[in-house]
Amino acid sequence: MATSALSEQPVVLYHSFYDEDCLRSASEAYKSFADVSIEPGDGLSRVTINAIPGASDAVTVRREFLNYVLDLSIKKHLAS
Amino acid sequence: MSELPGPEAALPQGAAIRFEDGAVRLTLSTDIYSVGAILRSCYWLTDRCYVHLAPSKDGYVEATLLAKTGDEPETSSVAWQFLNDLVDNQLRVSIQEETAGIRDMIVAQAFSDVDVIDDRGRRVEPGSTPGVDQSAITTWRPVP
Repeated sequence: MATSALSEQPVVLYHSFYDEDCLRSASEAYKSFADVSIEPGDGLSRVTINAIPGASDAVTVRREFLNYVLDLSIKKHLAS
Repeated sequence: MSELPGPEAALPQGAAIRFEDGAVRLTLSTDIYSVGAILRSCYWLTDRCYVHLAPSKDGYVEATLLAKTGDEPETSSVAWQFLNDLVDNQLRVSIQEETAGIRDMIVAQAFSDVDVIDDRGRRVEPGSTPGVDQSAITTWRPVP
């Protein structure tokens, strides 16, 4: 069995769960820790998260970033 | 206490999958769990685990979970917790939907200068005066 989406690079984030504005906000918030590139697709974004060397463990930074985007998106969803 | 089995070993085939990196992917039917309930359940767990959500085949959502410790038994424990939280949150969503009407009326009554519901909790038509029902509770709030 291969690795999960939590270990994939780029990771696909579907807009039905991950809000595009939240993705951009998270990317901005994480700019001290990671260089995030977002490739828009049809109803999804392909996101590559490259931790800045010396910041923290690269895998942990990627996963924390994904959690952060999800948290922001859920807050927005629940507030609407 | 004995260790819980992994969801991939205990749930029906295909409902849960374990990946090489230790993550567990649960396939959830939106006929049973609404997207709102799934999102709330994820929110409750993001301090303990990493989460990825993706739509699957029609009417299904895939939730991939991995404990922040990276520990396999901990990931199993989080996955079971997530499944319980889903039931909890789905119940909350269902109750919220079922009671939305009465909740709106109570809020409207609380912020209104006139009665919008009578002593029995029935809606009062605008312009009419609610009748007094002697068998009902006639005092809604303490008289100042």
